[in-house]
Amino acid sequence: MNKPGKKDLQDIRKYFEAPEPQGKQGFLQKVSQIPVYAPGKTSIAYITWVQFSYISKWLWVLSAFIFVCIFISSRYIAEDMLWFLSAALPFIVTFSLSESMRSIIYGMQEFEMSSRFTLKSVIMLRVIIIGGVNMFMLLVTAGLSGGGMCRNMLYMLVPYLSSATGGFIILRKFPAREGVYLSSVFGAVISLANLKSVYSYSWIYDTRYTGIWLAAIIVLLAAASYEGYKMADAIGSRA
Amino acid sequence: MFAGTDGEYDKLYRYCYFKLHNVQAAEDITQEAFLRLIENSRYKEIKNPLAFLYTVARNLCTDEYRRKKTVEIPEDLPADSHEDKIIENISLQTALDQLTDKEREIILLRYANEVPVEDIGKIYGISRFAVYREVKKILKKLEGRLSYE
Repeated sequence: MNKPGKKDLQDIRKYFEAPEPQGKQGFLQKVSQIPVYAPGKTSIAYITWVQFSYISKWLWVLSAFIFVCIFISSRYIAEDMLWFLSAALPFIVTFSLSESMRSIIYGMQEFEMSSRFTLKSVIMLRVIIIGGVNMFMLLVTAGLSGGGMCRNMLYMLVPYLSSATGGFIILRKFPAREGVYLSSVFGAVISLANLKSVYSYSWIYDTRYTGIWLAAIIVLLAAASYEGYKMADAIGSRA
Repeated sequence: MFAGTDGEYDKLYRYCYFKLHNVQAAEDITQEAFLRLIENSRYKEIKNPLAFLYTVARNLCTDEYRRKKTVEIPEDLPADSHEDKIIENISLQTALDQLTDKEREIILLRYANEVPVEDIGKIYGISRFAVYREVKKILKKLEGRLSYE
């Protein structure tokens, strides 16, 4: 039987036939008198703007400061300075992650969940907003700096995305507050590893390996997106 | 509430009756499911009211079944409920009788109540493909039983 025929369907319906319901008409009549207060439709743009306004201004100030420093150093100061600043990128990730977890750290998750959107959606949205703005700032800085700066951006994105991926995994595995502390430590480790590689393994920044860096970014971007989603999902169901 | 409430009431009631074999309890749960849909629609957007109704009804039937399990015998047992029906295709009935409760439930949802596959997936928390596979498996089983008879 690939699909039941008309006759089979009739027989199936007959098999599952139930006695006539007694209170149907009365119930439907009563229900039709209940006023319906359906919530209005909310656009994604509006929700994003609302979440945007809740994100601490200090996060944007700090991010902007680091990117401006990267721009100035790459343009007017010695290039060595640039690596110190790129080492600061994982810290932006750390601040961003702690910002995303703010509602849980301060016990506000129940309040968030009582709203129309789940905690998972709220956290996802914040991660996307913060990550998106940081990426945008990075691209703008690269665009303004021009020349070799675009390649330098590749080198900067790797520690940034590594910190984000690691941070997401840590936040998924550990309770909120401890998770933020541990992801800060992880961010610091990535930052130090970045500095160490600049001075001890400078050959990895050779133009021959640009393709490998690009591939690493693609892999890390996919991993960060996947882990970000899993983190929001786990936190949403944990709350 | 939502389009086709009248028809859905009958289908949901049929579903509850299939689960409980008790007219009063089935109707109470049907109405409770509709009331919860109205209540929830007031403060959040319910994207799939049909899946919501069946999920609530399914959970309430499970609660009712657990509550009554050790206390009383259902007022009409499945075998009796079908006795006085005129069933033209006895072999199909027998084949359906031989299915498990869950398999019969899926057949009821898909073919008697015409619930879309996507909604069935939402009710059971499985993918559309898993529902397709399950329905296909049950139909094959039915076919096997019918050809055996």
